[in-house]
Amino acid sequence: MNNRLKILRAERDWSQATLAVHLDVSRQAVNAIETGKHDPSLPLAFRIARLFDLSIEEIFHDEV
Amino acid sequence: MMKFEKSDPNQSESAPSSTTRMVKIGICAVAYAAALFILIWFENVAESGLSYGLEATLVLSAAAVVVVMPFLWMKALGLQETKGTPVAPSTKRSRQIIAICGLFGFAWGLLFFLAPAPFTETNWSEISLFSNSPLSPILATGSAIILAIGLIYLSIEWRKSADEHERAAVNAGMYGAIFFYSVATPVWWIMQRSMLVPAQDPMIMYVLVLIIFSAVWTYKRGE
Repeated sequence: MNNRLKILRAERDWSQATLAVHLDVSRQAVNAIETGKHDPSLPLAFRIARLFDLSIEEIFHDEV
Repeated sequence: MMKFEKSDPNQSESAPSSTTRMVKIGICAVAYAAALFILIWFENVAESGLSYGLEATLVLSAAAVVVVMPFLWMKALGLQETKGTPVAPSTKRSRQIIAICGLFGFAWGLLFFLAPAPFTETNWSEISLFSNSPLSPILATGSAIILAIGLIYLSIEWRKSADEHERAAVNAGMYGAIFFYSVATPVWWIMQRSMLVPAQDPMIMYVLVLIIFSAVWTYKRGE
């Protein structure tokens, strides 16, 4: 699954570690989500969407 | 709302490539397994045939590898954070529980190593963590209960505090470990029946399963 997490994070000048603290996950989790190696669960996807004040679809989209 | 300092979003956050991580984990796992096998072998062999000096050097080197390797393992995979990096509360808690597990294991090992004679039925020199020498019922029952309750409690607490990526990495490690066990055990058993290999040693199998679990866990965690 592709996502815009890295772009959204960069727009705020946040490091992965900073975003990880906002989401209460590890830095490795943020890295894995950004690189598409880990698809977040729905609750985490909602937390991410709320944090950036966007809908889930505006952040995550399938690879088709 | 918490305030965060702005930091370079492009700081070195990319994990090493899959091949690099696999090679590094492989080297660490083999070195760790070799060190543990040396310790187990010396604990269970009455007369190694080696000189005292060589035997002491091998055992001390193996013990040093066992103690130092977990830190090198994490460092090689880039899983150690730089000082000052902000850490999420859940990550902090899961790390604390892992540290408690390490201390718990160390204390447990120390108890076996230093167990005084009244608690054992063997000579003091024969008591150690990896030895198969007999234990008194008090020491065996007590340590088994502490180990079982402690491990279950810490595992549940850790699982509650770890984030979903970490839990997924642990699940993958468990899957790899049980798969390895379900293949290696019958293969060893069949080979042993035709006298091609020695009889199965439960401690060696336990160590191998734990090493496979740790290798897959840390590999997936570093993704």
